Amino acid sequence: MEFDAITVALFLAAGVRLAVPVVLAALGETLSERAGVFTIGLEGIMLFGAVASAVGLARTGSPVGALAIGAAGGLVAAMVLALGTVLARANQIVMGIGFNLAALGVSSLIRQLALVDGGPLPSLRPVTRMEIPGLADIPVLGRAFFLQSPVFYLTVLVAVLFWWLLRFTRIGLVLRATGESAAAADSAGVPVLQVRFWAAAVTGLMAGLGGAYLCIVASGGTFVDNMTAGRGYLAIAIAIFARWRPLGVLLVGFVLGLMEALQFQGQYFGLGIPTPLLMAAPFVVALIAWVVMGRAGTAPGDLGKPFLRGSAQ
Amino acid sequence: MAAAPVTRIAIPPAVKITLGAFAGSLLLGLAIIALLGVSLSRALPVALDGAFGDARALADTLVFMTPRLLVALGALVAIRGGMFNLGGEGQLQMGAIGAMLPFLAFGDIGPALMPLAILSGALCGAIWALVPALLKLWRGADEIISTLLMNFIAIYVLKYLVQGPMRPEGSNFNMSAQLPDGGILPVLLPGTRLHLGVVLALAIAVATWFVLRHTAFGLRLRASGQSPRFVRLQGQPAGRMILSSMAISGAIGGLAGAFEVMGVQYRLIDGFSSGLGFEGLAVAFLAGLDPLGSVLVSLYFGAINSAALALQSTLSIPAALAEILSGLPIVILAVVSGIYLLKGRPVWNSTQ
Repeated sequence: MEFDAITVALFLAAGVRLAVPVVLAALGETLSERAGVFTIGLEGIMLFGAVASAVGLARTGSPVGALAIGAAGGLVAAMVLALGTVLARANQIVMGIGFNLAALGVSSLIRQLALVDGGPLPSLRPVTRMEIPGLADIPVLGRAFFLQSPVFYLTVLVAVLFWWLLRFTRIGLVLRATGESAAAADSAGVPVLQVRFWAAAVTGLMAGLGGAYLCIVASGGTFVDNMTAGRGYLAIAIAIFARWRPLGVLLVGFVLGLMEALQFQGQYFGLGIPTPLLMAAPFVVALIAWVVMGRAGTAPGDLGKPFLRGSAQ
Repeated sequence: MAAAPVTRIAIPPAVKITLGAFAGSLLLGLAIIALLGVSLSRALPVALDGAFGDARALADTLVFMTPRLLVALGALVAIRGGMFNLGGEGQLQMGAIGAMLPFLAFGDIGPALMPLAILSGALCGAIWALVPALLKLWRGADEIISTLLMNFIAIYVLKYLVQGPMRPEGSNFNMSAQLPDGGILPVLLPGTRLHLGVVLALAIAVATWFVLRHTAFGLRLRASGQSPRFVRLQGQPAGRMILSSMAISGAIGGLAGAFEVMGVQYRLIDGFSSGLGFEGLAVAFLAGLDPLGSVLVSLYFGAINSAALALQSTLSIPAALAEILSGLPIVILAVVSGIYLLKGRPVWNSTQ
């Protein structure tokens, strides 16, 4: 076993890199689930974000622009999804499954139509690495946390923002009330459908950025069919595992990122675990957590239920 | 001149909505083909020929139908009983692994291998489905999440097996050794891919319909799905219902994977499914959780996939069209049924 500083730093850094897309999506999911909307379509939204960013990169040549276009793609996809689940009260799970299936096809179609020429990619340096002066020099931790993609810093900021928003602001109170009991929130004058719609839309913005990160930062700007490979579902599990708390999502996501990183660094550490089993580990951990939590989970009361004024819920 | 009296067949609204959803998604599919610059007069005959043109095309359609139908049947048994089993994909993966186990354990034992492989596939699917059922009974863990997560665990377990323990020595491919003839489902129509699993799947559909409709078990199952409280008041053990429905559900889902191995791939291959489980779920919902309806819907899904392959090989139209045409009707159906709940109230406002 080798546990020198550089190896550990590289391992932590890899964990952070792998965690970012899933944490972004899970933060989004946290918001919409707090508002009562189960976004099973997260996987499909991430795919749209990824393919939109790839097209954006090919068209604009700007990696920052590509990330923004990816986030916008996720936003639009989520708004379409929310039209169905929030406004038209479609069954959120059934709709999500259909949406993910269609998204798989549509994103691959977009790739084949809009990404035919394989020209040279622009330098992705501006979005893959940004050094925080001073902090980056801290031994071990500096390399791991302060020599990362700017998207990672943004992710941490958003997690703190969401924590503050949910905990200390009126918007957060309204959001939580909507998810806890839509009928009660409604009688208190909260525009339930608007709150849910916009919460779902922001979820799309986050998941879209997560997909864009996957494509632009993690995969060098190349979109591969079904490149999310279940990360959207994992993000849902993380949101639940963290009990719908943004800072918890950050922590859980990072731990799962480390487990995924073991597949690259595990051999170096002398671990003899085959890669596929390491890849399965986050899902196993999420499942165990889900079970351990059991009924004690403080789930939003109206999670997954459509809101219809005057109907018995 | 008086018009001849027309006999009106009452079509239930749910069926009308479903047919509308299919029609809508097909129109969108045609629009996509047109957008790709292929004239519909060229594309339509290719698509129809590809799905139904001759015995081979028809057999392909039925072979594509089979796993989707089986996953749908598995899903609807559980969902009818109140267990939201989203784990069809994982149960299918486990069934595929299960189909290989007797061969790996006993070697080439001739014709006995086939029934053993079928049984083992069903058993592995059932065991995989029992895990979330037990977790629900033991800890109250909601099965929607646990079945969803177990899909991915199964996918990686299969990946691990074909990369390591099940990979024949000296092979560089991520696949197992080929099943011997005794383990392969017989081809029913020479020159096509039509295998015995297709007929078995259709038989299971009829059996599922019969059990749900005409047996005491089916009645209890549907009752517990509709009102768990009613069942408890009747003194029925809800736990046993959950376990048996999930075991049956997983066994049927497992058969989907076993038949893919024994009738199509002849070996275990990493990534053989590419989301068959989720498509099967879509089939179950589109069919309104009805076994015989699932036959029709999965036949449609099979035809779409055959047609997409023909369109790809002859006219270079991306095969992703098949996924779009499978996903779209369920999106449309979900939205329309949601609006239907509103009973004429405006969508953007919840006031009565």
